[in-house]
Amino acid sequence: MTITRIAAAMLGIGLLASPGMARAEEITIGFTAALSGDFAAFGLNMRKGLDLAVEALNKKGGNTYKIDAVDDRGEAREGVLIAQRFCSDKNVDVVMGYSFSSIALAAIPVFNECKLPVLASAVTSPALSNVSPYFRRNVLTDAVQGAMMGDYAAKTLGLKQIYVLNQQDDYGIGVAKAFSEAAEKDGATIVGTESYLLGSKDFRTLLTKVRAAKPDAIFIGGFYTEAAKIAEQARALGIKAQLLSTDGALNVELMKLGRGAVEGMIVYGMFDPAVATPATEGFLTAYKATFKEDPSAWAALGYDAGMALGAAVELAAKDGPVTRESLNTAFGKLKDVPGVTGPTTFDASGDRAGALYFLEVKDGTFGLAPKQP
Amino acid sequence: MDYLGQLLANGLVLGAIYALAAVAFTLVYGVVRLVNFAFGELFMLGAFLTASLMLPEVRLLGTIVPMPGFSLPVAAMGAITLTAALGVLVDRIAYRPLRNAPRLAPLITSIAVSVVLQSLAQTIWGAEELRFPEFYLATLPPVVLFDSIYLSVMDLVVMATALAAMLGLSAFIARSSLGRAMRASAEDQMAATLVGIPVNRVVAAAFAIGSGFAALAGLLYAQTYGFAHSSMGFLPGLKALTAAVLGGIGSIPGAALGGLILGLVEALGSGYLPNGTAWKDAISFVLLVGLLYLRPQGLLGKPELNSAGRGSLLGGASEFGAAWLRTSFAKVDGALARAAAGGPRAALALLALAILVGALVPSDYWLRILTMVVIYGMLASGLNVIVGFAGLLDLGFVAFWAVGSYLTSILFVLVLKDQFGVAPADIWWLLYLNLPLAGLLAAGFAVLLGTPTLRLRGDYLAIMTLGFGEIVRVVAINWMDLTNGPMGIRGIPAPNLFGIALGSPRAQFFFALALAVLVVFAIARLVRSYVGRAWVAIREDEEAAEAMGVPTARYKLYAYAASGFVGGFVGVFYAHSQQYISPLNFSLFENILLLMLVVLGGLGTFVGPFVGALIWIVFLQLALDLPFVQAYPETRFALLGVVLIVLMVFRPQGLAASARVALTMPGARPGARRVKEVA
Repeated sequence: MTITRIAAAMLGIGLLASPGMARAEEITIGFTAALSGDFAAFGLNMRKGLDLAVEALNKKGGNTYKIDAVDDRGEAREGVLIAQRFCSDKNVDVVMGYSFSSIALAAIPVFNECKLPVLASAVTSPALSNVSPYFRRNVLTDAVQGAMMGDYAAKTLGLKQIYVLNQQDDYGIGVAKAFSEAAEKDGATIVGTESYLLGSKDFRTLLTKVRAAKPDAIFIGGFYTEAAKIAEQARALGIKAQLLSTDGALNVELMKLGRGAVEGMIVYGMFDPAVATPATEGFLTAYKATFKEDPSAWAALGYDAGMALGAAVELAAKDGPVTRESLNTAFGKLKDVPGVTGPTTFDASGDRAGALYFLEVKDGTFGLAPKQP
Repeated sequence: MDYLGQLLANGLVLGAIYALAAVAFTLVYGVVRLVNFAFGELFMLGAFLTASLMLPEVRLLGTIVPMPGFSLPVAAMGAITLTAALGVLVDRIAYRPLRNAPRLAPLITSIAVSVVLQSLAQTIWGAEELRFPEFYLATLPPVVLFDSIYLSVMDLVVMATALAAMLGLSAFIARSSLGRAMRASAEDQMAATLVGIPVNRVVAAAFAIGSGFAALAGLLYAQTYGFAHSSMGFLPGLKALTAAVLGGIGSIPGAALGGLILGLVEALGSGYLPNGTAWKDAISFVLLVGLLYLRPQGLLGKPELNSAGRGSLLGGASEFGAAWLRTSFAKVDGALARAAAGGPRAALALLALAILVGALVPSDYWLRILTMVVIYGMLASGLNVIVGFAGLLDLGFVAFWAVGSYLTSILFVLVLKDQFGVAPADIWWLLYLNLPLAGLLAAGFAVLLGTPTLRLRGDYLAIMTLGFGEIVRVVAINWMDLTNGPMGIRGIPAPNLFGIALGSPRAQFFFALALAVLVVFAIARLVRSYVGRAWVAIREDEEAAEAMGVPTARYKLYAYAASGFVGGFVGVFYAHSQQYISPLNFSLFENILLLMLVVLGGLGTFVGPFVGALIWIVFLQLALDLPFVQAYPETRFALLGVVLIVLMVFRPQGLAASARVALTMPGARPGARRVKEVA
């Protein structure tokens, strides 16, 4: 009896003492994404954004953050191993990154097992909604983004005959389906649908088919590498239709690769350097100073994910030491964390609400499209 | 009409580029009988070098380096010369030491060279695509024929260049003395040497010209599609090889014809088939597999170029190599040889060790890694049956693995759970039924594939299986009703035995270990039977085996079937252990990796595949912590490639070679010969 009382008293003292001592926590972020291989650009950009966020958080004092980065090479096999690596490493408090939905999907059973929270920034598959209480992302799903673009194309731009191309993977298929459904509902006709494999270079034949259908717009559900080539080869075949694409094409590389041919292409995204708000000003300057280039949407999302983590850690630290479990709870409680892609709040499915900007390529840079919904 | 016209025009441009690269394969094959897979990478380097020389500055290894900023023709000449020199260097380092080794050895090193060059290019030029600089002619407005067929000025330049280069080469080979020497070496190297032709110099010239053509094709390709990228050479390289085989490998007009046909078939196929663009890559490989059935020597090829190669794969190896290298291996060899002599006892000791490790390792992370080691070890064992015991190169092994994984996933998830609402836990026994079922299905595919290559040289099996692997991958991506496409199949149940879930990392490790015991036991029984002796006889000398009355065709089919069976069998477990599969799991690179594991550990040994898997997978995980590797992740794979080249040149029998099953007579061993010489 006495022993338990003493123990309880000691525990009470401990609980009282801990916030008072304000022990600074060291938070280790397990970061994983494709950092080498063909699709390394997304992961590297996310990493740059996250680096910047970590630097800012560390400067603020208090808790310190460090990143343990692991390259998944875009290979599904690595997904499970890396997940287990983070799980078994007791220092890792949270996992961030992920370039491919399929790899995240493969890893989730492992994270469920060890209750490690994940905050991803570039995986948009609807299959990841509601997939686990430990999985969250700060990017909108393909389904949501594609539908917004479909509405925009049919209603705001008033396009009638649209040809839909998509990259043959979960991302391209999802976004193209949502786009087509929304556009058809708003009165546009989808005159044809074709898919291509990620990494294709030759689109002439595909575009010869498109040309025969005489569309007034072409929607490209895919990444910038292919979008740039499609644009260039379309113009070379004399196709003058309006080009539309996705957040996968929202990357400064689009203009480097596509040159004049991408002029006039309309894409969407949750962030763009052209949209200057007071919130983005500091990020833009810091990013340019550090990396000597404009940030992409993925860098912005990586940065915001870092900021959301900072807010969650502060929240969790209020009620005792930061653990995986308390951090996960804190993520769920976050409310409107300010960020460069807008405020972050996670809903129960692990997704986040947000707004899209519609951007047009003009004189080699992205700018707000003249018509906004 | 304008639709067809535009398709034909598109096909011609593509065909011209394929034809140029096909010349590289065909020329070198004609002279040294080597399928140099590295031409795909030389193609890529041609593009990168040209683009770099044309730019005012370029970012190399992360730092800006000033560049001359030449115009396209000057830069192209420079790039072609550099690539040609590199081609000769590659030949000198990686192929010439193996000139008298069996065909499989340089074939494997050429894949390793490919991996090294691609990883290095990515380290140097970065992971992003490099925009190909603008050239004056490319800015001109397109030429419009009949009001509807668009061709850019550069398209015409590409076609004209290809035609001129091809005619020039034909004239060179027909008229010049070096060309004559080349033809003589192609006919019979021994005879050419005897009449005083410097064969090594002729081979170097063939490599130089071939690499130059690959570079030319690469830079024209990069110009046409506006970019350069480290992985850009892979698919065009395969297509060019396909074109060379189509036209008849070894024949230059054949390469031109093959390239043209392939370009046109691709354009027309993707133009007229529904969703043809996504299926485009499968079309050309289906064409290849079909042609090898009907006319194996290709359209214009000569059948005698396809006669079987001679010489033991593993024999003459330890004869060269530095003395210190030999002595350092000698100790390991002694220990392993003693262990191998222990036979079943040694195997049981190893098994006991594995069980002990599995029971004692506390970390789930390491248990998962070890499970991966066992899985890759089993897969590599399956590949080893065909590569190590029968001496034939199989580059489509992952397809059998995929067949097994997909069979069980489709049955469990897409059919039973989604269609009939059966809970996976109720039908746990299906997994155990699927294991042999998938094995048989994969073995069936293997036999189907192997049959047309029976009368051909082993190289063709490599090309055929490569094509099959790609077909399976493209089908897995595109046939969404069957495989759920790139979304993959989720929720595959973890293994279960009488209602006891075996999902924990430790249970999975033991499950994998049990399967590995089965696989190794079955392979060991097979290899030690008359079947295995026939395989080894084929590997050591196919003609001699045939002469001694071994029905080589039948035993080769057995080898294909056995190897396919293991692939399908292990694939089933793989799917249940990963619980999620997608086409991403079964890329050609996985196959190359498995091949490397077999070579690393030791071709034709039982323990080798596991040794290779253990070394490589554990190294991969440990290397993640090195700061240098974190900065340049590609270098891990470059290192693997380098290790492989060194091994193939100095020790083709692999690390654990002395554990090899002794199925050859002592007198036939090179070691014995050396002893005699010393005496």
